[in-house]
Amino acid sequence: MSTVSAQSDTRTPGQRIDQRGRAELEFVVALRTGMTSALRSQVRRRIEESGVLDRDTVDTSDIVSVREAVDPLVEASAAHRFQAATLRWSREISTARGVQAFDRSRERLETLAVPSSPVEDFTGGEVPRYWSYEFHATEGGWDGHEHMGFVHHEMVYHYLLTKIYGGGGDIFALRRAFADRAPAQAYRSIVDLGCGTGQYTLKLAEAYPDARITALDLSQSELNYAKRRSEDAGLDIAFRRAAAEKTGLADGSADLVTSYILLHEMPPHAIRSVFDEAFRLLEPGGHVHFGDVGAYAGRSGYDAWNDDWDAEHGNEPWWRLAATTDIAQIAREAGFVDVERYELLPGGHPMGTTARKPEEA
Amino acid sequence: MTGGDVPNRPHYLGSDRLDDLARMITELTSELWILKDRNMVLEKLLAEAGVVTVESIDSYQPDAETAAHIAAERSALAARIFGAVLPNDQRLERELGTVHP
Ligand SMILES: C[S@@+](CC[C@H](N)C(=O)[O-])C[C@H]1O[C@@H](n2cnc3c(N)ncnc32)[C@H](O)[C@@H]1O
Repeated sequence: MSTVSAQSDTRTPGQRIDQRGRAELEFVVALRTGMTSALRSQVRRRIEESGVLDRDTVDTSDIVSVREAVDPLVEASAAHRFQAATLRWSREISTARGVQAFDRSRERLETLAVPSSPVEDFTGGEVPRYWSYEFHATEGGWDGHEHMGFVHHEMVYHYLLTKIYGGGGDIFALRRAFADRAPAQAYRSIVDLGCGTGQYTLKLAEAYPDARITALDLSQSELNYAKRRSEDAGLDIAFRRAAAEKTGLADGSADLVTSYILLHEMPPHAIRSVFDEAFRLLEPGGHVHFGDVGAYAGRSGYDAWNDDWDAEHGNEPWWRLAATTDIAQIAREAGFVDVERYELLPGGHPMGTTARKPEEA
Repeated sequence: MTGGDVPNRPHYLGSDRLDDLARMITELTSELWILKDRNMVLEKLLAEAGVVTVESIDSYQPDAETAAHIAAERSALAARIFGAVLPNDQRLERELGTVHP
């Protein structure tokens, strides 16, 4: 029989949603991996064969010109338009359907979603305006549902992203590789900015088991689920609701300030403030280590076009700026030295920005 | 969430109405899949419980009465769906039962 007793239940929390929820999310995967990606490769061939993105002359840092060259071409293609419409549909419904699946089984799922006590709020009710926009075509933004953290992690990540983007079952493996890429062998005090549901935080804990880790975010629901996950893993991580640019933590209290895919969620002035705040938090000699989207300048014509098109159509309002702003320069202006910008894996995301606060600072 | 509630929702297929139609068809397909999935789960659980087997469903031969019942349902479905492209008056007549397929 397929019924399972509570003790022997080895399903992940997300696998405990009802049949309707599972089938609905699996259908989205079928649509995305089957139809959408098949049409996308057709579109890609069409772009490459057209020669509008000539390898030798294309300047991907001028993304406006790249878009002007490619958009009319793809808009004339039925394959492109059809995959775009389907992709849009899947993005609009995914989180909403996850929320509905949660609500249908709330009684069963809520006990798996809450931490021992809610994460403390240090914002004083002040959150930056850009944060409250509706990101990623999801309804209601990051805190659109009390358990959005659970929905994101256990449904959107578990059912969709891990299946669509692969990652050999561990979509978080790159986060571990990025954690390992920080310059020192060991750290004592780490701050993770924009921790979400702790996807990166838990990898940091794995990579630096002796470090004290503080993780913060602006989303109460993401934080609560991050804390629950950390408790389930038997870890002792300090979570707090605070802005990355205004953490409320003490000067010089960290030797590593890090983040994973936070920066492209904010406008450039906020990125500057985050580097300033990281500088303040670090002890002299400490490291800043941010992983985020790849700069268009270093990408192939198709990849730059594709990233930018996707960002626009997936409601990523700040992506283009993050991918065209000179982040190394921002780091230097904040006072950092030994600034390095690199692709963790050649040609792919994330792109790292790693630097050191000078000893004499 | 209805189409009109979303500001600046991009459209891709040349007209808002075509995009709406594509969305409806995708939604229908999703709903159809959820049902098919459930049906497969049901068959499996029923077989495990010894109620029916997949073979007994596949080899089932309807008797005359059941066959007539199924045929009527099938015609009605086909008429509703393919009738959607008929001129208005004919569709109406059909809906009102004044014309039989
Ligand atoms: C794409 S998620 C990344 C989550 C996680 N770091 C990971 O590895 O997947 C971005 C997170 O940044 C948070 N965020 C956006 N702006 C922020 C800010 N100014 N301060 C703190 N968190 C912020 C969002 O609430 C969201 O949880």
